[in-house]
Amino acid sequence: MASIINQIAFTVCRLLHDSPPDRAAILDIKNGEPRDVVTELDGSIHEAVGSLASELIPGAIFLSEEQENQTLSLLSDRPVVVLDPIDGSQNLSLGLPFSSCLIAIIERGEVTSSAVVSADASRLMLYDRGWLWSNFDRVEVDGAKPTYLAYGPLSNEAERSALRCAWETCDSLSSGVYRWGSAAAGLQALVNGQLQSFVGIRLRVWDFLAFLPFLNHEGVSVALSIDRDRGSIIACRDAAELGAHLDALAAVGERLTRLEPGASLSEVL
Amino acid sequence: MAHALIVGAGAIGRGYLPWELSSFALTFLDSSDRLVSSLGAGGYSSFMAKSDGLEALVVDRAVFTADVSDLDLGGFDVAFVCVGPRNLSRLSPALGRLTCPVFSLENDSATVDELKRILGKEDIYFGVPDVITSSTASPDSLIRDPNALHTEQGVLYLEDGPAVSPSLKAALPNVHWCDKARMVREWDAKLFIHNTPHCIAAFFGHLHGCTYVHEALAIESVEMCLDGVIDEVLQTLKITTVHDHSFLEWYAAKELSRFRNTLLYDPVSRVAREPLRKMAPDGRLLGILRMALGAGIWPESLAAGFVAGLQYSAPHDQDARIMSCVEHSGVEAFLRFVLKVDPRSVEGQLIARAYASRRAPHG
Repeated sequence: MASIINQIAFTVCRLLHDSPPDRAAILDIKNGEPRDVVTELDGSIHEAVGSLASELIPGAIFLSEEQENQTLSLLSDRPVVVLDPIDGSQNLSLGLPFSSCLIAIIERGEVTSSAVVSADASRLMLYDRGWLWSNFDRVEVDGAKPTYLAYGPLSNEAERSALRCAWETCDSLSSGVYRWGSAAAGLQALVNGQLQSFVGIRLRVWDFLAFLPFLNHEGVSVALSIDRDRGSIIACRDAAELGAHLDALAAVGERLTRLEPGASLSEVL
Repeated sequence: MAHALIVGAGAIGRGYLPWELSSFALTFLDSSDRLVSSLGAGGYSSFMAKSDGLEALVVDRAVFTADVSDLDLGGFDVAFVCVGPRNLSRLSPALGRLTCPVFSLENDSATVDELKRILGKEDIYFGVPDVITSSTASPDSLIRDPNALHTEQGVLYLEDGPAVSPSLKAALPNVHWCDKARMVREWDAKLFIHNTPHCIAAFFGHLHGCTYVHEALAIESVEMCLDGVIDEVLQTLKITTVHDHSFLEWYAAKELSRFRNTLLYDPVSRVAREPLRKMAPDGRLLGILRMALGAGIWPESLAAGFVAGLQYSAPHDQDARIMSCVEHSGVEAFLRFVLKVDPRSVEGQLIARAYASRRAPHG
């Protein structure tokens, strides 16, 4: 009998594989924000995962990017299934690479299982209570590497200031700032060894929660701040780099908390 | 007396190698404290299946340890590594201080380079134990000795290298010492002519509820498929390699009789284990299937065997968590995401069609 996360992840694999190209067409643009597109595939994955979650984890809270009017409760006593049906929907709609489905199951503030399913690269990453599996080999490259910088819609000057600060710090500490239209793609490349760090300012929590166990397994140093459905994350292979980012952001009023391996999300919420 | 270190006290390590190392003092290094403790309490027996029955070898003077620091790494004349390819990364780098040549018996010549990297040692060579050794024994043998193993009478091929001394060769009179080219030939033959049908026999055995591989060979449909597999492999190797055809045919002719040996008690679970490793791109299943297609051979039996492998998800197998997901993803998505096979490719379509037309085994 396949585990719950595996059943969900492999169902998503089937949906991604069986999807004809027209399912990547844009159905909606949320909140008038051009970067927040919704495709038919987003909807299909949302429905399928929601249905599986309610069947396999009775009583679980389902938190999906495609769900309206939801109340965030990552620290609930009930399991929380967090879903981004397609991170990188705009890429998908444009026929560009870098789009992934992200699933995380949170129990009492801990990501106990998660999955990353990448449509374009056919990458699959699975984590379930200490068991970890992926279908790609880590890249071993020495020396400075790029940093991925991601950011969500910014609503005030403080957030924009944090982004400017993050950009300058990334540029000075790495071999370059990369952006591919998908935070998940950047985090996969960090886990894979192709990037040295990832900085995300004001992302949606479903963009990165699924990656926490993989980052922990890789020994990547992580700092987070989460406020309802949005959060910032810095993940660096070098703890000193993380420290530099934290100091730079703190100087502009943006504070993140280091997440120790095995720590609960309650420490950053 | 010469000293041999055997790393890995499993089937090959304790079931077969002591027969080849009869003139050596033996030391076993294994990561299982439980096994080491049990073996150290009084030794064990290995039973070799011969034409007139079982011959016993009692190994009661060996040293068993789970701790590499117990070893005098400069005191061995030869070392063998047989821990399973996936366990190599867990070997202690301290083994790099061995001053003797080391032979990898891991069924994959790439493990030689991996061991050189892990141990930081250059005098590491390849070996092919051409033998079927069970990880267990008959019920009668196990009553007398819970650590007993059964093995057939095999042949050990070892790569001849600069660090292999004449005295070592003299101490191993039954070993076939080969240059690298011949090693490749022996390994090709073993991997595809032996290991390919062997694991397919086990996959079908699992589908039919068999405990031992020889039980699967008693099922007519399984035997027919295996005949087809061996034929497809043989024809492929004849076309795609420069190996001597009479050698290939000689090797192929004896395979099914080896699998049928009722004295081996070779578990299906051992031979079928870790199907994902067996389905690696250049491995014993996909590798030969692709070679066959490239050679103009239509690998119908190989595809059927591959599909039997896709249905192997024994609960305690290391790959069970992934193998149990084929139905959730569908075979095409599984090929794509897990096995990195393009479902639109010729081999992908062949496997998908074979999967769609698979039938449940009858009894």
